[in-house]
Amino acid sequence: MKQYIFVIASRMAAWRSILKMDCVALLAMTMISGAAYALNVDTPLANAGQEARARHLFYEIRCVVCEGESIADSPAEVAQAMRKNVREQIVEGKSDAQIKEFLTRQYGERVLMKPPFENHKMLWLSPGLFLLLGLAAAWWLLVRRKKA
Amino acid sequence: MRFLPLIMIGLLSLVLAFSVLKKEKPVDAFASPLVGKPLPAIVIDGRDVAQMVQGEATVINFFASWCAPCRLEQPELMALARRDNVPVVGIAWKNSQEDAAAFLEKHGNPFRFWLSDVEGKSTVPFALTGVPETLVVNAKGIVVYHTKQSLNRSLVKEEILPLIERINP
Repeated sequence: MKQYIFVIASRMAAWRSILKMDCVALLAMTMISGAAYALNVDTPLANAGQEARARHLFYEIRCVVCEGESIADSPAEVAQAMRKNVREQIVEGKSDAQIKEFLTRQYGERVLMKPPFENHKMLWLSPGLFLLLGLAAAWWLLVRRKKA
Repeated sequence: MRFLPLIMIGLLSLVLAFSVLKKEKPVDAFASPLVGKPLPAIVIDGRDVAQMVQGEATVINFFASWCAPCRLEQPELMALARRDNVPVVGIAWKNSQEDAAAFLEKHGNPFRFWLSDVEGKSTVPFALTGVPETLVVNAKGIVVYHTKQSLNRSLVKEEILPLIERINP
């Protein structure tokens, strides 16, 4: 019996020390991630109009290492560097089209959240075509049923 | 017109079959926009990278102390530097000088010189998607090779060394 009590007591002590260590580790991790986040915070542009333009553009540019996420939403290092680059280009006086063109040259069309119409006509037109086809079929069936 | 649903399904199947059977580039295919062009003119750490490597074929490696694959490729970079026929230059991407220096002290320093790009200014001009990435530049400052892979023995032996032999005989 004594043996059992000893085993239970020692296990409880072990768990207590693990929990204590976990709390310390959790606290340390929170502090480290907080510091890392502080380092990763973007510096907005002083000019409010330019900053608004930059933020609008962020939603049109895809993060090149994320799945379907814009650089506005992504916490990735690359996305942060891309946001910084967009802000720099705006300050240099580049237009939105020029910025998007430069990024497309560097990373290909996948960097744009919306694929350009001229290179992806079928992709853009197919939903409308299918809708028209469906409506035409429905109309034709209705007319046919009325006649019957 | 009782076959209309059948025709619709047929049309949809054709579209689906076309999109599936259409030959597409493999996902891992990577065509760097830098290859064949002069090294981007960019100042890192107060120094113009293109000017610093001018006149000599050079291997440029982007690394970071927090990047695990960079640790794995470090022996390959050390071996490349020991060959003495091409200088290896490092750019610590999104990494402070102190952290990068500590990393190089621990894992070996293969670089003739290295710069610290704390803010990641090189990202878009070099079309980087992360680290490690490696470029080979010829003596005229034209980029002749760019890989996003972590360097390993076969990559160095089959792609990088023959290229260096060719541009820097």
